Amino acid sequence: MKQAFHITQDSFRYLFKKYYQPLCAFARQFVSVRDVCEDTVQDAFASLWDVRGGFKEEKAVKYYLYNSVRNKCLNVIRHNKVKEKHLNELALPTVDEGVIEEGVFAPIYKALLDLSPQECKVMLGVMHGHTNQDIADDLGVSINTVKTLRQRAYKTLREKLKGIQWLLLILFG
Amino acid sequence: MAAKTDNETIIELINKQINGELTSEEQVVLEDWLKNPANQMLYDRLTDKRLILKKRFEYDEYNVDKAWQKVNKRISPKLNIRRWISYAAAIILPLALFYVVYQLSEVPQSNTSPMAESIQPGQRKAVLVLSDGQQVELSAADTTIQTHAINIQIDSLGAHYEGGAGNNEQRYNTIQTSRGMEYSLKLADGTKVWLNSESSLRYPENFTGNTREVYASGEVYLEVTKNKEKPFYVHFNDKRIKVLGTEFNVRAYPDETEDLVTLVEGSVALSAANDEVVLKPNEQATCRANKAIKVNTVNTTLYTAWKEGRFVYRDAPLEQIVNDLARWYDVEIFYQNKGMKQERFSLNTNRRANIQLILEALELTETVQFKVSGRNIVIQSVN
Repeated sequence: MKQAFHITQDSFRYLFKKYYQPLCAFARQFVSVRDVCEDTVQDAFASLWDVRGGFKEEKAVKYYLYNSVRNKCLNVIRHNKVKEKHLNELALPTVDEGVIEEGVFAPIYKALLDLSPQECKVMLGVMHGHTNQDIADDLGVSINTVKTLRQRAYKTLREKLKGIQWLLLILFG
Repeated sequence: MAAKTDNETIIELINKQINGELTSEEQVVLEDWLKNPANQMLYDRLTDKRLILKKRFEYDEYNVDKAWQKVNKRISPKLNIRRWISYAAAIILPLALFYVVYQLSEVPQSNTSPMAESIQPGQRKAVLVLSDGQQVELSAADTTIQTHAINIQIDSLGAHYEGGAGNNEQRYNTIQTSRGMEYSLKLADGTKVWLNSESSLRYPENFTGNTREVYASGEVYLEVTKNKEKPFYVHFNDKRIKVLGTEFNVRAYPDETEDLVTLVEGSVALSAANDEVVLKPNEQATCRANKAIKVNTVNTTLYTAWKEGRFVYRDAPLEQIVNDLARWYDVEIFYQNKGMKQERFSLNTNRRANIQLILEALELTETVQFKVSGRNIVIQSVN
């Protein structure tokens, strides 16, 4: 009758794989220590497992997780604050911002995964306006390697990312 | 102020903008959204190519597979170690000495101790998450929240849902408390709910449909409105309580080895994976992983005192008392001597008391010592 998103072992795993990294990145905007962020997100998922009924759709679960992580992070900050400064919660991201960031960034990240870390580093170098020599020195490889990596990256992106044209512009540039 | 544009729409527009696919009408909507400087800042961040590449590396720092292993272990029912502990406990208990703290009918509430000044008892607070994801911080201030179908009145007694008619959609809200918080609310059917610290309840704004279903975690006390036509179900962990009209307490904290359901009045049927019991008033069901549900007759006051603003324990293990204190006062506990966990104490105090006074009362038994440093409490034996 009513559509519902049932959280089972399988769907829970799916949610975890999909949202773990974005949620950690979201938490990192509150707390700078990586381990604490990861623990917080893991706690949020564990809580989700406890109250796992009644979600209409995946979107509702996503909001639940973002809210849960945000609350836990605020708690961490309140706990550890030395000065009141940190508690200006207006300066900290809202759930809406986290959700928007995840929505915009997810397809891009997925596409970028097709680039090797080296190719990514080359692109970063290009965008910073470094010369091929600079990049080569930075990565500890030869200039030719850098040129090859650039070409490969361009080829991958052109094949895999039809829409993200500005990435191609960078590579051209 | 223009109506808030849907997050999903914004995501779509930004993605189209990046790909150069934005129509002129869509352009207008996006520009309107960007008028808000906070949104503009977010947009600049999301379209900063350098930041995006950096994000890729940041994501790699978070090892999903390793984290999954950890979480998977946490949520799976725990196995044999529990059994071993229960046998060990059975041996230790008869040998343990039972200490009884003299009944403190009222612990004075003045905060005289400088050490415990930063530690405050819990407050009436919670976070309400609406069905659209919006969150609202709830405290005692009088306000009304309006959602699509319903009005939610907030005042010093809690939140009251005024039932909206007709709307067939079941929208779920969640109330959450952290450490140091408690809250109470009244659902659309008149059911009253009390939440202790670190607890949450997911429930529909409006009870349409043939059943009333809510989902709980932590510790909640419910006074369910009688309705024979619409049985009330409380889900916690992978268990379920069926209720027709009754008052009972559910204690299901993720970090505790047992879940407790205590029935004050009425009748409930509790189903777990392989087991089902029906409780009568003053009975308590204890659920442990991989074990049959145990039913005992108990003094329900001990398990519902928190709702009346008191800590009441009779021969309770220190671990239980201290865990409740930790959640309510939002402190961290460390055991210098793990054997202390099973020492038994009795206590009867007001929850709003200065924690120092409660610790001192326990220390009067000359069995235990507490060292307080900031928000940390170290438990030592007296030797």
